[in-house]
Amino acid sequence: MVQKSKNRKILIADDEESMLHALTDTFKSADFDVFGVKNGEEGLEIAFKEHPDVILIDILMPKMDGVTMLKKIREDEWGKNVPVMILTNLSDAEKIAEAVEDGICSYLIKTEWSLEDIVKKVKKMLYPVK
Amino acid sequence: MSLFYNKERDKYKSVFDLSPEAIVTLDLKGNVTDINGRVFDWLGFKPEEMIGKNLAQIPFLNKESLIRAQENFKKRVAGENVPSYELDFVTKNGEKLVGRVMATQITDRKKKITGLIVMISDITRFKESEEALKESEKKYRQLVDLAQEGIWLIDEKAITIFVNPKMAEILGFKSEEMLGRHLFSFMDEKKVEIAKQNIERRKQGIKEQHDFEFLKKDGSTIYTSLETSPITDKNGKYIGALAVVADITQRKMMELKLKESEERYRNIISSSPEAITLTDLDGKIISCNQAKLELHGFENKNELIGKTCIDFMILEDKKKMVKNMEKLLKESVLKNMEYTFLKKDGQEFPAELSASIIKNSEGKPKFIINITRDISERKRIDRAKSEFTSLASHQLRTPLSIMNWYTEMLLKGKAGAINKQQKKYIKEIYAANNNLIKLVNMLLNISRIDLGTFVINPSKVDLIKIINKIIKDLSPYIKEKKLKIEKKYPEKAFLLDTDQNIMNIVLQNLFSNAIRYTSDKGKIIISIIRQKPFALIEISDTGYGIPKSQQSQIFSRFFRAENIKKKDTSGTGLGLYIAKSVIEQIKGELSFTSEEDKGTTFYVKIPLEISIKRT
Repeated sequence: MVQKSKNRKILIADDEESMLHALTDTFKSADFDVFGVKNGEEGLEIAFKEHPDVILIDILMPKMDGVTMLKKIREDEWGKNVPVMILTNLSDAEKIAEAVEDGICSYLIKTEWSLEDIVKKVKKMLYPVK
Repeated sequence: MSLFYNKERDKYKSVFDLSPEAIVTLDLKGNVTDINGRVFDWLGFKPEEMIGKNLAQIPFLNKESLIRAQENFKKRVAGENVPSYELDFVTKNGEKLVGRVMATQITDRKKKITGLIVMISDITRFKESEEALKESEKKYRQLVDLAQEGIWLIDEKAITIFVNPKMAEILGFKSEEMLGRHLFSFMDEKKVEIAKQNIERRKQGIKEQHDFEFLKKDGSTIYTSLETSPITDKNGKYIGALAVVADITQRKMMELKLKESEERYRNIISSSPEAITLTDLDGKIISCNQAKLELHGFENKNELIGKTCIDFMILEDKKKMVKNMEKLLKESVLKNMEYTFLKKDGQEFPAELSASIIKNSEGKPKFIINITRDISERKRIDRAKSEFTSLASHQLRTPLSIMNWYTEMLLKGKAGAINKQQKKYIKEIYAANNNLIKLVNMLLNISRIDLGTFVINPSKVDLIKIINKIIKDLSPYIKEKKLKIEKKYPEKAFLLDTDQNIMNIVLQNLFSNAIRYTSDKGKIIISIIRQKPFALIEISDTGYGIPKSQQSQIFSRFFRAENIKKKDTSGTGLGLYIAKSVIEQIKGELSFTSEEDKGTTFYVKIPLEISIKRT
């Protein structure tokens, strides 16, 4: 029997092993149920299966990149409203602008954020200030 | 009493009396024996006043004339031949009369001279007109002699019959040396044929102006301009020619020099490897060099002449070109404008064009000259560089963020508890890592600025919030150097519509510079004022200042002033370059004033509302 966890679910997609590990570890310590994937294809699968409460996506990934994954999530009935944050080190302005347009998601650049701050920000997204 | 009185007198009396000339007869002593009516008519003396009197006794000759008359009388009487001569007579009324005197001997049957018969012609009028003519001739001669131009007369055989002093001077001769010489002797043999033709034209009655090269006395060439006309006698027959000659050597020399100079410039332009085009003020091509043809893939200049540069541009750039033309007319020079041009086969290529206005001697714009450069290669390299930088930045950032996060986790004890020293060492790694991250960010910004892909995201920004955060982040350094920070804000919050990232970049850089380059216990003042439509931020410090000689370079890439280089060896020299570039992206301005060893104040001017659309 699957016990429904009272923890929030977070899906993290990043093809860089060490980064994925650092993020999943951190969010686990922050009492999240973490799902980590290494490419956009897997990410979609898990997203539609688990319906996470928040999704963190890296842009540059093999098989399917982050922007495409995000677009496909948004096409879904459930996926329209799930909070998504793009984590990237890419300075590819066009790609980011494409994604950030119309508030599809927010983004942040990995080198500028400490893990602690990322957790804070995600929590803010999930629990907006009363 | 009269000696001469014979029967034949009657015969000759009519001749004597009716002669149109004045006749006086004299005896061998010089006494007047008879006079005719003309003598009275002209001189006013009655026969009784003259007949029987000696020449010397009659007041009809002045002293000189009398002496002369007596001399000639003596000679004539002695049998000598005396040609006619002039004498000045005085009439009874005291008027002057000039007479031509001719004396014939009177002989008796034995051929002995018994007296003289003197015929006097009144040449007064003649003399007067002769005088007048002389005067007139004198005047003309003066004119001719003093003329600034040479006057040269030749006869029908082209022999020089007259030259004025100027003409002789022009050719370096004395007038006498030229007289009698043939025209052709004053020129190079190669010119003789032309001169022959010219003479022919004179003979045909043609007067004209033409240039000619003569040879001076010293053998050098002289360029002259001649106004020539034929001279004819009263029957219209050609008897010679007149030329008024001007020395145009100087003008000619200048013309030759100009021609040489023009040829030189022409060669420079035609052989230049840069594509050079000359157009009128509307941009219509007047001429261009080979390089321009090759640039567009044309073979013949005629394919370009008459067309405008706009015809060889892609549609999207035509408007830009028109605008730039207007700007060019105002500013006279416009450099490095980029357009996409078309080759003959329609192939597009990026090009850089610099143009300037050519004015005439009165300063009026007449033409445009432009140089066009194919920058495909440069663009390709730029693109490759930027892509490389972007990609490299990304590749650099990945391990940097990994290092960041893992040191963070270490510090948090996620891999186990750490002792004080371990904490210290890890913090060093963390700090160095962050420095590297900052540098990579700077390089990234530069690459984005260069490429023009710097993204602007306008949003509502509170300047005071940003500044306070920056001061907070830098507080360790502020505390360490015991610096005093003074804030001059007019309001609690200063909101404007601008790009937050850009504000952060600029203000972070200016603040960290102020802190870094101010010695301990110094002061930094920040003030913000609203000056519609801008916000003005001033950050001033009491620091090292920027030496005057270096101030012009302060915004250049990698530039660090000499005085701070010595004090602080770290620092990339990129901060201000980036700050200025990004401020300009939102149409702001960055400037400063500074005095070495006194301090520096930076002025940031930002539009209160961004006028650039979100990209």
